Amino acid sequence: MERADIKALAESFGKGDKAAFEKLYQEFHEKVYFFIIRIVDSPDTAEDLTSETFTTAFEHISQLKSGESFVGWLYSIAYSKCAKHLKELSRNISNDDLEYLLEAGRLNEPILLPDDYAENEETKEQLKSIIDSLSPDMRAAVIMYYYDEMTIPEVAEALETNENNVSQKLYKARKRIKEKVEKLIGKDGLFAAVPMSAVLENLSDGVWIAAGTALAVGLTTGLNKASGGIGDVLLYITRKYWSKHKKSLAALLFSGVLLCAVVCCAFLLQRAEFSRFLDECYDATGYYSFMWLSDDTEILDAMRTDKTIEGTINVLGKTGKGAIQYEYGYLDDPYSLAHIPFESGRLPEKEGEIAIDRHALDKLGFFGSVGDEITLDTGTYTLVGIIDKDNYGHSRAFSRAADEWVDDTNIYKQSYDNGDVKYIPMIYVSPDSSQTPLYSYTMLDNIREFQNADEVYRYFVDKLGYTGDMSPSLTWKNKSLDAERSYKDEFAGKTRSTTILCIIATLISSLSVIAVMRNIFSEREGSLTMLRKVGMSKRSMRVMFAAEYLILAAFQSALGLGIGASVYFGIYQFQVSVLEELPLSGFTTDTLVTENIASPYLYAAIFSLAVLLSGYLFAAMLSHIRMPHRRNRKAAGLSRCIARAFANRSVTVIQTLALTLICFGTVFGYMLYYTTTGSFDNETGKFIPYVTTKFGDNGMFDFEEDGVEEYYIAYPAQNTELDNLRLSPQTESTCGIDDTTADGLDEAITTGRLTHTFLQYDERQNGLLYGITFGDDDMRKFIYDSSSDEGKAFIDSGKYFYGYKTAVANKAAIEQLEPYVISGKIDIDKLASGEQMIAVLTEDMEVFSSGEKITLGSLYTDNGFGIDKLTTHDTEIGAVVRLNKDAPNILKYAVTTSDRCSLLTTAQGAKALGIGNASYTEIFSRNALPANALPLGTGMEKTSYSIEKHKLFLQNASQIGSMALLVTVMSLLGFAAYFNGIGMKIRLKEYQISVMRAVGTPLKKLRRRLMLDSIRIPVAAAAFTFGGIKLMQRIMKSAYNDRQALWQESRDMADKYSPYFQVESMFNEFMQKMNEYNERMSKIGVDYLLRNQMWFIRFVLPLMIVFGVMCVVTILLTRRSFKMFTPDIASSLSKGRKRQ
Amino acid sequence: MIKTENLTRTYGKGEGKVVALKGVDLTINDGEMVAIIGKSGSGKSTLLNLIGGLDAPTEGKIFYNDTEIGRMNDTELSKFRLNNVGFVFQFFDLIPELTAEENILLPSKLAKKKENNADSIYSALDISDRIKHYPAELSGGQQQRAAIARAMINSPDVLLCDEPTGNLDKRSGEEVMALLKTLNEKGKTVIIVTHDADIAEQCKRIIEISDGHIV
Repeated sequence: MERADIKALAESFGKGDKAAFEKLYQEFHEKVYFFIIRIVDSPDTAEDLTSETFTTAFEHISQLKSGESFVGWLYSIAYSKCAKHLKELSRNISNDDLEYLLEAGRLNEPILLPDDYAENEETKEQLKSIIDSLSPDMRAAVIMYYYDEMTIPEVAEALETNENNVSQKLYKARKRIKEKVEKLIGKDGLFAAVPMSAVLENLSDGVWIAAGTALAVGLTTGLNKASGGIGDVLLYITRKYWSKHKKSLAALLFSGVLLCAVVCCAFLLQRAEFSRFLDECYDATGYYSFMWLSDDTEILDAMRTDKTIEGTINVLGKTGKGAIQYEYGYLDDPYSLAHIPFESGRLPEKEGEIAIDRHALDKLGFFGSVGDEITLDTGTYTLVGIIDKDNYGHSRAFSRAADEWVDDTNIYKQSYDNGDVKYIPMIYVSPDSSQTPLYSYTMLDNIREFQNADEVYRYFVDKLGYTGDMSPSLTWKNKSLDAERSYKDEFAGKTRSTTILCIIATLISSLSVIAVMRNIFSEREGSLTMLRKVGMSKRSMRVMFAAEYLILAAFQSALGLGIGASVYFGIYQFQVSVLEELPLSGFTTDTLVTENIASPYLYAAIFSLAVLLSGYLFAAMLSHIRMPHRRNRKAAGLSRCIARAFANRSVTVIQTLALTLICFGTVFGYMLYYTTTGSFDNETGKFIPYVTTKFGDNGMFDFEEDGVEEYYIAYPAQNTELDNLRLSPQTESTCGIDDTTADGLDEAITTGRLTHTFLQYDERQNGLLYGITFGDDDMRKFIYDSSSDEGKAFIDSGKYFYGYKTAVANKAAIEQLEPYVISGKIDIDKLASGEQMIAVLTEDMEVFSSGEKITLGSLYTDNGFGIDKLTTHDTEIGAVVRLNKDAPNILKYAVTTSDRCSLLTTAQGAKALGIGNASYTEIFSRNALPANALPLGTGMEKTSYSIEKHKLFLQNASQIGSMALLVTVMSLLGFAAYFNGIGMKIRLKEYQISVMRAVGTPLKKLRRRLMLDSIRIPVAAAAFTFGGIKLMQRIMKSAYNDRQALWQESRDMADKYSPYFQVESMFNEFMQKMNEYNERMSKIGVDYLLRNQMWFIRFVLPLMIVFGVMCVVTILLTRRSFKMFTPDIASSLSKGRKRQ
Repeated sequence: MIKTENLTRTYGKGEGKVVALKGVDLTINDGEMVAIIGKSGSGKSTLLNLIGGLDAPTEGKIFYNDTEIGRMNDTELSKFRLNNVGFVFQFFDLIPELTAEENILLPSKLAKKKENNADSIYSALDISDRIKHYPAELSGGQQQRAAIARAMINSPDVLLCDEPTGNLDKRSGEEVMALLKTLNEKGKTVIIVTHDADIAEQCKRIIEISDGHIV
């Protein structure tokens, strides 16, 4: 009732309106009763005195000065009655008896104070006893002022005293309460007054307890300062609550700690991955190489001005991180050795002697002569020979070495290519000449190191007479720049994906925290209300909560980081000790890594803090929202009544959100997994996994089938001229098979030392083939115009040019093809002479027929469009073989390429046909191969199947590991929130359930109803996710259609304005659009959302799994939660009442 | 007629075992108005809960007109409560999310009764103008009257009241007692658990319980 209403009623009552008195009686009867019972402590006496109070009020209403002071006046009557009663009592009994009576009354139950329903019995008792221990007048003042919310003038009137006196009483009362509470705190220890201590009580580690205590001291002092001394009381209450509700504390911390640990671990995994990636950059190529065009001003400027580039800039030769190769090969060919031209001196004869090229000596700044000491990176030698700089190249070994040398040092080639200088070898006695050929040669590795870019530039200008701006293609090393680019290209997307998952996980965790916090709030409501009543300010409360949750956040982060780092350390140890990986961890301090990959610790702490704070804020917000009752004209039906009685909207919203986010997160993770491990064919929608190894992934070969354990990867020389075919030095894979190699391989094949051998045609070299063979007239003309005379002549000849990939296999493998021949006949001799080839098909198709004459060719192009040089050989198809599905994989792998149709010959046949474009050679053997069986001048790496498998595992694990971790934790947290919701709903509705049961509702009916209600949540979550994805798909499909429309438009215009290149502007526009589109798609990273025909199955699968699990769990949990209600309805009802 | 034989109810096990009722034999005839009195913890509420089927006896039997309710499963017991017993509790126990009318009509809807005497009950209890309100909007007396209406809606033969006036002021308490007496006069069996001697005195028969025994 409002004060104005009271005033009006009191005034009406004053004028004799009995109805007004009736209303005032109804309003104040209970309040006055409660007021009196707190003073006299006897329900009967209180009842009598209440009646007397109202009788007196009724009789003496004329004495009321104004309606405004009615409340104070009424209470003054009540207080007078109490005082009189106590005075009479004290006359009849001794003071001790009075004290006893007061004590006894204090303990009497129930003392029905309106807010006296705190869950925490201990807190309730302590507060009650503190208030009750006050003197009656103080107690009366406290009750009237705090409980009945009377003003000080009203209290003054009630106690028949002045306002100052009331203020003093209240002040003294507050002081007394504070003293009492402090006394209590003193018993339990002042420093144990924070929740952290409650947590730490369970830990045996003294260090932790000491740390917690220190924090508590700080907090207590701070709070006391901030709250004017009331901090102790608040902390006492807080500490008592948390120490009694350890499960709530654990539930509250669970989400944040788990999230913090997983975020920390996920980003540590990313750091490790990046670290390994950088390391692989070193190992794969021996150095970071940067090739740039002269118009790349950004890098040129960086080269000129950046004085802080760290690391080593290797201009000449190769170097590698921790694996510097000094030896390039051996010289055991008498012909080569005999033809080395010396300017002076001789070949070295013993260890410590060396022969070096004159140019190398110039570049080294060595101006001595034969017989002098010379110090190189490889050691100190005696110079016994200087190789003639004008005549080398006569040695076959040196020729091959020179190719490699020139290719790796294009700047040198650019500067000296017009002269005679092509290579700078040196020869020395091999360190262990008893096992290896006497002489080794090398390329002067690490001939000079530079400390910064400017030094490189000065060196080229000053020492080499370089006059240009900066070389258009200089090999140099700038790790930070490379790392930055690598980060942008490779890792930015991964970090973004991980961050998105982290955000989803944080949202889900927040839901879990909200659910727990709501419970905690409702549990603490009673004691907090009581504190407010005895005078705690809202500010003090806020300070308490802020301090409490900040400490919890700090503890949660520390624990989470510790767990996350420990889990990662376990993973790292597994990688190093079991998988034998290099010891490169996410704990690295390498600035390239730490500056480019987000800090695991900072991110984890931020996300963890966000969980607690957002959970707290939302829970606080939710607790203030009260859903208004709707007025219904007609009583609802049974079903609706039950539904309304059980409705708990905030929990339902939390549950639905949690499940929806899990569904989205799972689908998102599922998408990321697919887009990380493969791509989708635009036309068929078929998923094509990325080939992650050089073996087995295309389904053609399975290592385990034949037990081959060891193999070698031979990297051939980088630049080769074969016959008339010059291969582009700009491309990476332009190696060839030369006579020696072919002889060596043939010998190995013949003697059976090589079990399986193949040469694979490099895809990157056949860019033109489609144009010649299958292109339209416009394209043919375009290529024709871009070709050299030799190329034009070839196109004019009208010959068909076959660009099929060519495989080379040994005799044994070819003989195994006999059962699969569908036409013609296999003739090994004709294969070896190049007269015939075999067409090998892996599908039911007709490409060649036996006896068909074909021209086989290899092309070279300068400008990338036409044909500049080519070699052609005429041959015929001797046999057509179709390897069906039943054919052994090992055989397929040995005789085919990855194409559905390929041409097969022997190594001798390949030589005869001039097939020189093999990109690399894999040689499978159980035994080590002799050096001369491999292409000379190649690097050779020995590896094993198990190592490759470990690498593959790690690659996959690091790619999807952090995502999988996040999705898992996200699901865990979301499920926790959901499960908690099921239990909470039933707990919160225990009262309603018990009442329903008491009036005759069977438990079965209620259970069925709640189950149905719960099942609606997974259904809603699945529907939201389904709809959301469908919406995304529509948006992306629209973008896809735009792209297709643009493509069609471009094609139409190209046809209209033939020849093709005349519509270059259109083409450029198209390309620009394509790039924009691709960029957009790559940012989303879920390109297969576009594939309408398949999304149904792929998305529904994870959704159905989540949905199914949820439904089953919902049913089980609801059943389980219901068990607490049987069979005793009475106790459930009693428990439920307490919660209400 | 309600009859109990050797009715015993214990809570807990082992050393913490509490015997609330010990072998109570009791017969209450139809149309009686009985007060069960006793101190706190004497077992009077336990007896009422057992008679009403809200709790199951540890030992002994409870008969309603020769039907033993102790052997019933939850569904049967629920049906029994729905049709034969009406409960009135000290704390009213109205479902806060439902209006007074919905609370009152709940048992009738559960029993799938198409017709009921709701209107006459409303007017008899003088709550016709308050039935569209939610419990929080009603005074204690009004809530208790709504609770009695709910207990009456299916016209049960027995009314079980656990401290029906315990949470009411004196005047409301008197009104509730008057109502119960009227119902008893109309033939209903009324069993009231109370520790208030004044209330007990208004009943035709008083059964005192102490330490789980009928004194």
